[in-house]
Amino acid sequence: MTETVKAFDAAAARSTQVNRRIACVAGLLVLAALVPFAASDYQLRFAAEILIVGTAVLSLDLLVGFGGLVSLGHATLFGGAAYAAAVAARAWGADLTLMVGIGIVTGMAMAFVTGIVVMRTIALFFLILTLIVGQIFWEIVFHWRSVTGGADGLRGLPALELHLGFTTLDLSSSRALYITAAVLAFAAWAVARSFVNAPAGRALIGTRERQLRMSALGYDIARIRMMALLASGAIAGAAGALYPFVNQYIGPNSMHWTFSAMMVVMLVIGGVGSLYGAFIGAAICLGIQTYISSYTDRWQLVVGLIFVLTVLIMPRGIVHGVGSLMRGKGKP
Amino acid sequence: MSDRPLLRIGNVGIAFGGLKVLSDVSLTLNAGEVLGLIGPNGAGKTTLFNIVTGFLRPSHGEVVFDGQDITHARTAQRVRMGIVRTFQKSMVFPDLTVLENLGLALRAGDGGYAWWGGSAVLTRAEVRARDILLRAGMYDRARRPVASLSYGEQRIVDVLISLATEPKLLLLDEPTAGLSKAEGEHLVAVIRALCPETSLILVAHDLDIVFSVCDRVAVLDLGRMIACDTPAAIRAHEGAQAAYLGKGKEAVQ
Repeated sequence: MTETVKAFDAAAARSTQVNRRIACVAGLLVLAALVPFAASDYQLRFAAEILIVGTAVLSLDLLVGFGGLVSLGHATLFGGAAYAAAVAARAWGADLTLMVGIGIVTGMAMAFVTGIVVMRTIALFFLILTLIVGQIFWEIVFHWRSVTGGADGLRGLPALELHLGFTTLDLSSSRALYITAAVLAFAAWAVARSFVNAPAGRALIGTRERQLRMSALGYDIARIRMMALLASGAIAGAAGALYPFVNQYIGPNSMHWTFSAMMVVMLVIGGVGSLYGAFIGAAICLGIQTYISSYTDRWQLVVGLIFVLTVLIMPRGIVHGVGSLMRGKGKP
Repeated sequence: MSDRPLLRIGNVGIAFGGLKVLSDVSLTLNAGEVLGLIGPNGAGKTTLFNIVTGFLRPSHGEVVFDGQDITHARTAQRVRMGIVRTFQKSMVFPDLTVLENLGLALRAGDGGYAWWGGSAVLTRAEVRARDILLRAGMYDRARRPVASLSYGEQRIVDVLISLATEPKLLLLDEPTAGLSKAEGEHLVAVIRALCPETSLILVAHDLDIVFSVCDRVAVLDLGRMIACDTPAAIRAHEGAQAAYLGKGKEAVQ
């Protein structure tokens, strides 16, 4: 009898939880839709940047949060796709479909190369190897002046547009860029969610928790990791393809390992393994970088302090942490 | 029981550097048989498991399963052929629910890597997982994270994960370690009830359980097989007593 009652309670709790989640997602969508009416051109571009970088951090969450694989080479996938898109745009024009397509292919190709090197490693070795592979890609971009512009990067990109066959939409305005970035972010979130909930994503969690058991059950660990890397590379690549159009510029810093490290920081602040946390973390870090850096050069100190506080007080990220503080539960 | 052995280990030996961990171990196991594997710590029991399941390759000798030479087969191939093991340490997936734990095992050979259109695979695995839990008497635990279960229940889930793949041969590495006598007996009963056909190789330090459930018992000592016979014969075997039981006959009875 009591067991049945408990089961009913649990079911009810689950459905209110689901309802609250739906309400949350709907609320965020409405909020996102209202931004273009309230924000200035500059703020809209900044919001677009948050969404694009947030999408890249979201793809990193697939590796870190679900695979337990901390990468220090993630900016390479993102920045590499950004360069590929920028170079292609200068040659063939900046059609959105083409850009995103090139970004996805580049991101997956670079993830594949990285994967061949790292897929049999974990923990520290994975971290260092992704760092090394990433820096090799960075060196190539940095020194290949004729194509990438070397240290100067690439400027003077054509306007982003979307060919629909019967008409062509101009996406070069701040508002259009913001909407494009928002659609991309939502699509990426949906794809990542479907990946985590699919058998492949469950298997990825399995390798994080008990790698030995997974091999004893006949799973191919390297194959699972490679799938996660490819999915992650595809999402990072799609986001990277839009990145040059935020500031009409792409430079080698977007591929540097320090940017990879910043992505990990954003992820930890936002909440590892939550997917949505990637956007929160990106907003906080980019916000500090943009607004505090006009007062002091030491903005990284502020990011660092928030990072340390998050790790110590809210290990599951700032949203989860503040949420449980408000519910009076204290530590999660 | 058929005449052809399900598993035949022939003159298997392995050395790590200069240390001979197993030397010339031979063993046959018939279909449906329950074999106990005993011996003091460091005798090579877990190493033998690793060789049968493909986690290690022997330096010499052969492993034949179901008439096929599998000495150099990969673990995944052996799982597909029906050889599955458990580990000395609990190897459950603590943050996942009991259903998800079984689901991972059930999908290993059936759509476990699917990304798109995976919902049919998930549903199929969940239906089978629920059936297993029902038969194991743990249906009410289905949605609980494994970490929230008692240790005894976690050990059962640990074994159920391996049983879910419906192996022909299940190697159990100290499944009863840390359990009370009653819990240990319950675990063995669950295993027999769920898969009466499966051959078992059981490593356990609890000799009562070994002698009561096994058809035959093999004794390993310092990497050598010193006896392999019926429980009654092993009880009387002097070499086995000296090696493992050590303290004279009263330890056995």
